[in-house]
Amino acid sequence: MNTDLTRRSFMKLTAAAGVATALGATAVNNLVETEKAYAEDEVKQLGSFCKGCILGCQVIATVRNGRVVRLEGNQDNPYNRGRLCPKGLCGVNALYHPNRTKYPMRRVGERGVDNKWERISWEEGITQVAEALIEMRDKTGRNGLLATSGGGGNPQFNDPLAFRSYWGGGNCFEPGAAQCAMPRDWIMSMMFGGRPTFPSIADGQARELYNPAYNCECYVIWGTGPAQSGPAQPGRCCVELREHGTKTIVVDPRFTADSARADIWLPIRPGTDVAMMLAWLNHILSNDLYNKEFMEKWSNFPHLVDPRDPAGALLRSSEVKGMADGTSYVYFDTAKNAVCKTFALSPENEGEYQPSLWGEYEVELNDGTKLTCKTAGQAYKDSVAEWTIEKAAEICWVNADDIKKAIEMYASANSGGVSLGVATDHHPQSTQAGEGACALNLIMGFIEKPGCPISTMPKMPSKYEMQAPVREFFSALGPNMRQQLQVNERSTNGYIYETDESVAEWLGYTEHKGLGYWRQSHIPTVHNAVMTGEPYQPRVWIERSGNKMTNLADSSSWVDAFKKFDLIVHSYMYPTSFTFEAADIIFPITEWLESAYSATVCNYGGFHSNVTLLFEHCDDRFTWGTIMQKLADLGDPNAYNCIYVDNAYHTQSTFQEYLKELTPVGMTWEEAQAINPWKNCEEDEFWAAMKYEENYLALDEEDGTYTGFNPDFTDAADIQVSPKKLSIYNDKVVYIGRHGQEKFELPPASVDYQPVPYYEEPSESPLTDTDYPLVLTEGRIPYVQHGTMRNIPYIREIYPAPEVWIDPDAAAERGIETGDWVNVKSRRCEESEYIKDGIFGVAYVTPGICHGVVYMERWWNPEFLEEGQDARKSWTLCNMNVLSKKAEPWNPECGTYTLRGFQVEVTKAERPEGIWYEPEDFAPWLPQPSDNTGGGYR
Amino acid sequence: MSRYCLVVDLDRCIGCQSCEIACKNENQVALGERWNKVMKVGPSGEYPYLEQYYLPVMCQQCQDAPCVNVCPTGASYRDPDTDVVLVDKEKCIGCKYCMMACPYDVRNWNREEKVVEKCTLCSQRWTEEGVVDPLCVTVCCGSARFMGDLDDPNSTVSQALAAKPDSIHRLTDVGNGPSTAYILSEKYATWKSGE
Repeated sequence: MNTDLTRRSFMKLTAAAGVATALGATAVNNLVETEKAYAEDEVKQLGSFCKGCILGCQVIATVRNGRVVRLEGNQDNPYNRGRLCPKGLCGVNALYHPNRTKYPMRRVGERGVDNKWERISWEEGITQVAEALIEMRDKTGRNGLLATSGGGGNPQFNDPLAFRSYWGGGNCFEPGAAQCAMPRDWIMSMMFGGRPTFPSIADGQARELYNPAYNCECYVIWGTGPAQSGPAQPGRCCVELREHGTKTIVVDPRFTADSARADIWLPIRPGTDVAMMLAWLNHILSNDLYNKEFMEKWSNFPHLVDPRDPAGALLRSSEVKGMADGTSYVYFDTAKNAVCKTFALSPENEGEYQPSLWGEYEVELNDGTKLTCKTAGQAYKDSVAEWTIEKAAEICWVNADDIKKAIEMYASANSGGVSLGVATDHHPQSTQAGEGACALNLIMGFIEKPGCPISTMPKMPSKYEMQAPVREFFSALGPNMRQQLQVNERSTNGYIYETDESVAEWLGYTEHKGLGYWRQSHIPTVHNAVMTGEPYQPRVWIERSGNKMTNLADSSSWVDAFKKFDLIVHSYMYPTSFTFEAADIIFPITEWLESAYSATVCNYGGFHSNVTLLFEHCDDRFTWGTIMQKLADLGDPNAYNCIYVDNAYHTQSTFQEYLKELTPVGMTWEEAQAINPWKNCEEDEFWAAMKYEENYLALDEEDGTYTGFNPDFTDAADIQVSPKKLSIYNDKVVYIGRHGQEKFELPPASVDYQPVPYYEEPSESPLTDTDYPLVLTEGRIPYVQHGTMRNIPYIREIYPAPEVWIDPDAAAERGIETGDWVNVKSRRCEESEYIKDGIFGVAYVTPGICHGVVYMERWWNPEFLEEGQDARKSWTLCNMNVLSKKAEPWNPECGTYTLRGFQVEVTKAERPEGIWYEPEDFAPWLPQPSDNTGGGYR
Repeated sequence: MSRYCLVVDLDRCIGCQSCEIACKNENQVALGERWNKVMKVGPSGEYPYLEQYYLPVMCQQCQDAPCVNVCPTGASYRDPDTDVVLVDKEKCIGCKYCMMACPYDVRNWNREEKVVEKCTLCSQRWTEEGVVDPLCVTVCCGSARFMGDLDDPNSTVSQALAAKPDSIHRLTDVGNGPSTAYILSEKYATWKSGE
C-alpha cells in the first residue's frame, strides 16, 4: 500500500499527546504537512463500488496527486450503467468531511452532558474495551455484551454477529433487521425454498428486471420507492421497464416519481397493506385467475390440513392409516379417488399425480379416528374469503374500482411480479405482508420465469484465480448471509464457542423466533433488560453504525438506558447524536472510498477499493479482530481459540496479508487496483446463463426426481420425505413457533405463528383516535440513506430540513401552507421529557399523499454537535423516530415494532433556533482534502 | 453550423437531482448558487388521478440569445467554433443585464468572483478528439438527459427527439428560440411550462 506520508513521520504524529477537544468542524486537525510520496501531477483512475447505500454502483474515482477529485459511474456496469445518485456523487465530500473522526478518542466528562474528547492511541482504546469485557465476564458472565450494527454508511453486518458468537454470549441487533428486509427475506424463503431470493428491488434483488430482454409485463411496486431508495439502480431499472412497455402499479401513500409514471396508483393508508393483499388474493383465487396447472403441480395447496391443530398445521402422513414409513404430507388424488402420501415428482411419476387443490376429504388415522380435512388451498381460500374489494377499499382508503383494475391488470399478465419494500417491515404485520406479497407472485406462477422478479441469477466463474482466503470468515460471507454464521461449525478442533444456552438466552428470541434468521435479538426486550436487569444486565455495548437516535423507534427512551452500561464504544466515520449521548470511546472508521472488500456484481468481479486511507481510520472488521486478539492475549479461552487456533480474524496487524486475499494470483495489490473491477464474462453471456424453470425442473442425480423447491427451507424439520413444493400455505412457520429453527429445541412462543396471512388494524388507528387524528408514515428520499449524509453541504442545500407532506384539506383545517414550519407530536411526547415539545419540519401541502396521512422522513441535525451548541437538539428537533412506537403490539414471528402507521397531530409553528437552513450555513462542512496516511493499520 | 444543447426526456426524469450535484461538483459552483435546477411541476388533477413531472432548467442555448444581445462588453458570447453560448469571465463587469434579459432565470451570480456564470455544457471538457457528455448527462439516473448537436441527425439529442416526435416541448419562446427541448408524453402529464 502506497502512502503519501512516510512511515516515520506518521508514527511521530500518532505519538502526539491528546488534548481535550470538541468534535465539530472547528476540531483541530493536527496532521501536519510532510513530504509527499507521489509524483507531481500524477492522475490515476481507480475502479470501485459505491457504498452510499446497500446497492453498490460501479464507480471510477479520479485520483490526482493522491487525492480523490472526481467520481463517475462505469457505463459498462449492467446495473447502474454509469449512473450515480446524489449519495454516490457526494462520496468525495463524505471522505474529506472536516468532521471525520480522525483518531481513537476517549470522552472527558459525562455522557449526554459534555461533548469533550481526548485523543488516545488505538492500543489504549482496544485495551480498554478488552479489559472491560474481561471484567464483565468475570463478574456477571459473557452475556453482558451488546454488539450492534446498522445499515447506513458502509457497514459490515456480519462482524458484530461473529464477534458475539466467538465471544460466546450476549446480544446483537440492527435497527433494521426485524424492521427491514429480514421479515420478508425469512418468510419468503420458507415459501419458495431459499433460492432465488426475496423479490425486493430496493435491496438489490429482483435482478431479472434489469435483463435487457425486458420481459416483465406487469410489475407491482408495493411499499417501495425505486426512484427514492436507489435512483441509479432500481430507479433507473423502472424507467427502462416503463419505456419497454411494462405496466406498473404503485401501492404507496405517496405520489412518488414512480407513482407519477404508474398505470395505476393506489394511495394506501399506512399499516393496512395486508388488508389490500388479502383482497387481491381473494379476488384472484375466487375468480380462478391463478395459474392452476402450476399450483397443482408445484404448490402445497393440495396438502391436507389437520383440523385438530389450533393453528392449522398440515396433517402428517405418519398419523394416517396405511401410510408407509417416512413422514410426509398427504393429499387427495382425484384419479385414485383416495388420500395419498405426497412424493417428489419426476418425469416418470408426474402423470400419476392428480391432486385436488380445493375441497375437504375424509382421512382415517392409525387409531381409527376419522377426520374431515380441507386442502391447504381450501383453507387459504376460506381464510381470505371475507376480503372483498369493497371491504379492502374501506379499510385502506383506496377507490374500489382502482383496486379491481389493478388486480385484473396484474392477473391478466403472463409475466411480472410484486416487489415489496421496507414499508411493511416498519409495522407489526411485517411477516404477514411478506407472506401475502410472496403468495401473489407464486399463485400466478411468477417464479423462475423470464420477466419475473423471483428468478435466480447465474453465478459466473471468476476470470482470475484467486488466493484461498487465509481468514475464511472474512471472505466467505456476503451481507445477506447472516444466517450462515455458525461459528462452532467453523471450528477446526471442535471447540464450542457458542453454547445452546447462550443462544437460547438471546433477548426476545424464544418469543420471536424469526429473529434467528439474522441472529438478532428483540430490541424492546433488550431495552427492558437494560432498564430492569431482567433476565440479565447488558453491560458493555460496542456499536458500529451511525445514529441510533435517528433509527431506533421511540429513541428518546434510550437516553436513560445508556446510563446503565459500564462501557459504550462507538465506531463510525464521524460523530453523531449517539456519540454525544452514549459513547465513552470512539473509533475512527473508514468511509467506502477507504475500504477494501470483495464484490461480485452481475458480470463483474473484483473489490471495493481503498482508493486512499486517511488519518488513523480502520475498516471496522479489523477493529473487531483486534479487540478479539487483545482478549486472546489477556487469556480469554474463546478468543484464544478464535485467533490462535482457528485463525478466524484479521487484525490491524494483518491488513497487508488481507489485501493479498483480494488480489488475483500473480499480481501485486497495485496491479489489482489498476484492473479492478474486471469482467468475469460479457454481459450477454451473463443473461444467457439464466436458467429460469430449469432451476426446479433439473433432475436430481441421485433419485431422478425434479430438483423442485429446496425442502431445507420449505419443509418443517419433522418431514422426512419431501415433495419439494412451494410452501404457500406456510406450515413451516407454525412448526418453528413451537420448536424453533436451531439444532436444539427452543420452548414454544406464547402464541402460534399462523400459516396464512391475516389483517390486524394498527394499534393506534385513525378510525378511533381523536386526539392524534393524522397517520404518520415515513419513506425514503434520494439524497440520504438511513441516518447518513445530513452533514453534506450539497445535500442539505437541496433538502435542508425534513418535509412534512400533508393533504390540502388537513392543511387548510390547520391553517398550514407550503413552506410553513410545523410541529408534529405523537403520544410519545406525553411520555418523555426530552421530546415533550414535539418535533419540527417544513410543510409541503400536496394532493399527492393519501388524504388523512402525513409523511416525514427520518432526520437529525449534525450542526448541533458543533462547538457551543446544545448537542441533544441534534436528535430531538426534527427526528420523526422520537415519535414512533417501540411498545407492543409486536409482530409475533419477528418482534417488529411500529415505525410507520401511528397517530400524530400537526400544528403550525416557527422554525426552531439553531437549525442550519440557508445554503451558506453548510459551508463549514465543505471537504477539506488530506493525504493518504495508510490508515490506522499497524 | 452546429446547435449544441441539452435535451431532457421528462418521461424518464425521476427527480433525483443527481444532475444538480454533478454540475456543482464539476464546476465548483458555490453553495446557494446553481447552474442547473430541477423544478417539480404538479402534482395536479383530481385526487387520486394526479399528474406531475420534474423539469430540470438550465441554459437553453437560445438561437437568438438575449444575453449575448444585451451584454455591453462581449462577455456573453457565442463560441466561434461550436456556437455554444458562453461567458468570458475576464470580460464580465458584473452589470447583470444578461441576468435580467434571460427569460429563464438560469444565469448565476458568482458572489465571490462578482461575475455572471451559467451552464457551459461542460464544453471546457471537450478536446480536439471530440465532444464529451457533461457530467449531468453521464450520471443522470433516469438516462433522461442528452447533449449533442441538433443539426446532426445522428446525435443523441436528435435521436431522442426523433423517437418521440409527438411529445416535444420547449420553454416559452419570446423570439429567442431556445434550442433545448423537453420530451413529455401526454399519457403521463400535460405540458405546462411553455406558451
